[in-house]
Amino acid sequence: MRIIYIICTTIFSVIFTSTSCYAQSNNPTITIGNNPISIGELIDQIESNSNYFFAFNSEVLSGDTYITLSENSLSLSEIINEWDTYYPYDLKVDNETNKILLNRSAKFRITGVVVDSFSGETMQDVLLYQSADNFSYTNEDGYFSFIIDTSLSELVVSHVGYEISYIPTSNLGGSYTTVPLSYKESNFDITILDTPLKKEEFRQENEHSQQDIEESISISGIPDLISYLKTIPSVSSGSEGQSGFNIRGGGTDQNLILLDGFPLYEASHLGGLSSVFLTDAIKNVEFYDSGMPSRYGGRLSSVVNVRLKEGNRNKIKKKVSIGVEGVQGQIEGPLSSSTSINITGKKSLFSEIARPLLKDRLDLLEADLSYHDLYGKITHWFSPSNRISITGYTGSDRIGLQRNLNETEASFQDLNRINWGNNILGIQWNTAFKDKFFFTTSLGYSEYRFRSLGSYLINFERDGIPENESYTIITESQLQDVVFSSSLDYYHDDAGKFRFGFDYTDHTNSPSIVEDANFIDVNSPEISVIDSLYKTRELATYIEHDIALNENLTLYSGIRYNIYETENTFYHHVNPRLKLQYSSKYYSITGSYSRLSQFVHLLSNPGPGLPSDLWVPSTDNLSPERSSIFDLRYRYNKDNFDFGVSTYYKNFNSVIEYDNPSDIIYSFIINTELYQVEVNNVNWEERVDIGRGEAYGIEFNGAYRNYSWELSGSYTLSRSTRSFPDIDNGNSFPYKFDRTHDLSLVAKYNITSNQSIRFNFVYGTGNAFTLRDTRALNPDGQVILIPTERNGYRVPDFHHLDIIYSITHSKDNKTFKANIGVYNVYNRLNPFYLYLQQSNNNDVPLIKKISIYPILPQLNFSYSW
Amino acid sequence: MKNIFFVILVLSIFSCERELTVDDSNFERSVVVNSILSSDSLLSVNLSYTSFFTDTDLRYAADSKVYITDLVTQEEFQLEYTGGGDYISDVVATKDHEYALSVITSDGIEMSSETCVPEDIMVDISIDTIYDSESYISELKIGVEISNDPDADNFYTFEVFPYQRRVIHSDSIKDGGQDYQGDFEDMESIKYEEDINSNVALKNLNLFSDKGLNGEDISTSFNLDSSDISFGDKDSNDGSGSSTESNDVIEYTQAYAIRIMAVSPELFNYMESYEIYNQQGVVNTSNSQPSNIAFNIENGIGVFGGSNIQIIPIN
Repeated sequence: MRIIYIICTTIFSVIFTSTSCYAQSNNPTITIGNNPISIGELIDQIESNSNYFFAFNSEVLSGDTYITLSENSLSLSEIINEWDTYYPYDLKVDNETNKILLNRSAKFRITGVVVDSFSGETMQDVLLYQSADNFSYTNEDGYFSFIIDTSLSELVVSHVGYEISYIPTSNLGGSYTTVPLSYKESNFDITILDTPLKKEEFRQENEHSQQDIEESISISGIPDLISYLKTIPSVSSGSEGQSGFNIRGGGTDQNLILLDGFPLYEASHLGGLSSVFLTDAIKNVEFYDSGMPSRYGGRLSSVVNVRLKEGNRNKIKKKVSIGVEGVQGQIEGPLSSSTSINITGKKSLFSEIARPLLKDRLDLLEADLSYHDLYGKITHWFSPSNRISITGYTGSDRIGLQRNLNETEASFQDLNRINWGNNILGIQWNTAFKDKFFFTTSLGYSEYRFRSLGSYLINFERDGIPENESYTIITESQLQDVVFSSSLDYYHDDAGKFRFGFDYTDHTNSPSIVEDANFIDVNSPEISVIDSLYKTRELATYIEHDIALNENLTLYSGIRYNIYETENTFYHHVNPRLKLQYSSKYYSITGSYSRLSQFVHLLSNPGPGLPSDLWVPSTDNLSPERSSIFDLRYRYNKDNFDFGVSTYYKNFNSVIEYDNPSDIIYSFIINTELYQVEVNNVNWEERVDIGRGEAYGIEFNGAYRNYSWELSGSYTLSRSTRSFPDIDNGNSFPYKFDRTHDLSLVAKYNITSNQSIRFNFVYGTGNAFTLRDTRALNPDGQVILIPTERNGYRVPDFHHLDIIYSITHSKDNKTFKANIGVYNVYNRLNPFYLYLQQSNNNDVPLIKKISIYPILPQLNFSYSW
Repeated sequence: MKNIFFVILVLSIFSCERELTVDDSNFERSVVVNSILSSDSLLSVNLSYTSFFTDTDLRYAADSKVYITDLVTQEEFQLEYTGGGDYISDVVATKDHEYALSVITSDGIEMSSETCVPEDIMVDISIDTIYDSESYISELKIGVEISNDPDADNFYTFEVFPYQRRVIHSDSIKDGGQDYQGDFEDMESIKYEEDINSNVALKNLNLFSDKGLNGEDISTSFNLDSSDISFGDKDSNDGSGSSTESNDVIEYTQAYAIRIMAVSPELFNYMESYEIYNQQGVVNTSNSQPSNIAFNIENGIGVFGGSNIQIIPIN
């Protein structure tokens, strides 16, 4: 808390200090009649209403000499300040002689936001450019603070996918500027901007728009963020039925997923069928696999910051869609001239489709496989530079299966329920002030909950006597975060942009597993079994600095200082970040170094990979995980071609692995009476090994575009290993998600202006796994099957080809769009998992491969108006 | 994790299952060394080779040199091969002694390990019987008090197992028949009873230790109910019956005994991991790690451990 106090004190000191500079002793209020007002008229007004008089050269009054003040009635000091700050004039006040010296200035600062002209949404990373050594970008909230050189005729405002805006310098000025940009509607516009505007292409590598995401279709036929991310070379194309995604040899829990800055812990539905993100709700996505800015921390491998739309500020827009997966709807628009709202939701129909099939084939009494997502965001603008947003999200998955079987020998009752989901509620306020500052603060609550229940009852007869056997296991986990963060952007005249900030997170984890001998009936009320509680706190302060060293070289640097408090221990981690980018006309070279720390970890049970997440914190005995990422990349972009190559090296420290993974489950069990092995004084923390890991690789990506074809592809050659002192004698072994080869190819053919057909092919080396490949005798002379080495085998390679046809029809601002396709055209039976089948010890075991996604239809129809 | 079975089953409705073959060309056989020392059996070691999991051809390692050294007396014993991978000496292990094992196979592979044979267990067993409404035994509460070396970590197993108690209605005491088991041979308290079919294992194997108790004596208890064992006449499978042998009248009745065993840390680790291995069964898939079994043979696999067994009938 002391650190928070220091930061707050610093921030408010800066604000206070800058404000006090404008205090005047003789400061009458001036009321002007016209606004805008000409310079000459304003001089007259001031001179007639105060003791001050102006001294100036007549050139000052030449040309377009009108200025706009923020209000008609302002104090003299406020008028002087606005005039001096936002217009190309220098004003010097001499309080001794009451003289105001007025001159034309060569430079002045403008501030404002860049917005989408259609929706009024603010836009991130928009380039503001005057010359090779005078350019800047908007921040995440669309805000900019830019020094205009009056010797140059215009300001160029540009963003990929949008029409370029050329604004005459003479038109600039005022306390706050709103710059609208228009989206280029035509897919066929392949106009390639010539340098130096190409800087934006290189800058915007980390930003992905909703339009980008809409190009990638999930298994179920709808545009999907995670499917899109998997086309990026550093993101593994995954495997069948896999939740989440892996970045450069990292685990699925090593990705920092943020929704408007608030953490989200599970991003997939039903084993990767689709993601929780609804493309219609997304404004843009920031994605970092290296070179993370200091404001991001808490995960080792990547950052995915999803920003929701604020809602169209100009008109109400509605959209509905239906497909194989379910129904989705969106409504966005203005509630008033200063308030907008965006509500988007999805409800799966998967259960309705699957239920009859499941019931019939498996004699189920009940079958529920469903999920939903609901997003809401409301934004209110107090002024163009001051707004507040409230973000809400709720989503959950349900698997519920109940079965009663009556055989001649026995009757069997079985109940399985798995529920998981996220809830987020947050409020964010940001404001610009004093032309060089942009302040953001947010407070939010994020919750992830998981609960699985498996219960069965068998009634049978043994020698004529009725007997029964029952068993229940309940896994329950809740992770609750309260997040409070603030940041202050400061735009220095010469030294670039600074950002100071802090994040404070209060984590509450409660992982629990309970066994019981009783059968839990379907009508039994749900009883929470949570009785373990970990309370930890995480505080990070950071500084970022972006500066253009010269017209080609830009340095992004920063440092993040983390404090993590467990019950009895404080961990201190310093995470430096550095990124140097050289960008010229057609290419850029970027090198970066990032050091990261992670304080919460995901325990996966030894099941077949369904989400069964127990998030556990770093503790007194388990230090936080750390990683360092070195990255070097080259990108060439000219005309219709885009080519990139990246190489990276990554090391992990203090990563954890369960030395006996199934054993970990039993160390969580509260009721040990049933279990044959009494685990004495054993905590799960003592059941993990702490080790190291490394990952390295090279990634290639390329794209070509012409009137008819859009071709893109990426290939990655990589290796990721882990080593633990107590596993495999400390030798390094392949990480489960080690992906030697990863290939993604996309070809899109534009049949007409509103029809296209897209081919998508992915290939990846199979995941590494441990096989009980060795037959041996135990001391009792029984055959046991044991593994020779950790992750010494590979599941079969993963690949599939998808074809999807899209048609769009627009008329009178109404748009109909259909996606019709086939997933896995050649019916490749990719492995979901393998298992050993052995009925008794003396049999020869068989390896069986289970596949869950054969050739599947993809259908989705949407209508917006 | 049993629920996972069912989820697998459900998913399989959309799935296809195929059999795969795995290349075994890189597989190399290792030597498996197993030896459990106790004070009531001869020193013995079994040597075998591993095989690929699809290969059922188990091979024993003959022509090896096997030595066990008593690290207290520094006596070294060479074990002789008797077939079936077994190497045996005519020496019995001594309680509270440490031993070193050394194996050199015919192809020159050297393996070694160390263990100890625990000292006698100072155990006090108490049994509380709980009856149901029909006056049958419905539950047993077995209390276990163990006094042990406060300076060491001590490891135990506890198990209740059934046997057929033979009651001989005769003045003369006869030796048992062919089913007589060695465990009871020296137990004066059950001289008139015989163990038949004692290799039936109940599911009540418990492993426990005084790790973390700072040397305090162990005091624990175990509850057994009718789902664990059968009590009295309610169970028709209690084996009650009678027969005659010569002029004696012999009755059989279902009985239970407690087997409590002090084990070396190495054997404890093995048994604990083996229980989990058995629990995991075939649940293990390629998406998870199989459970490990704790071995302690340097440069090989297998277990070299020691035990000291005490059997107490439940009366």
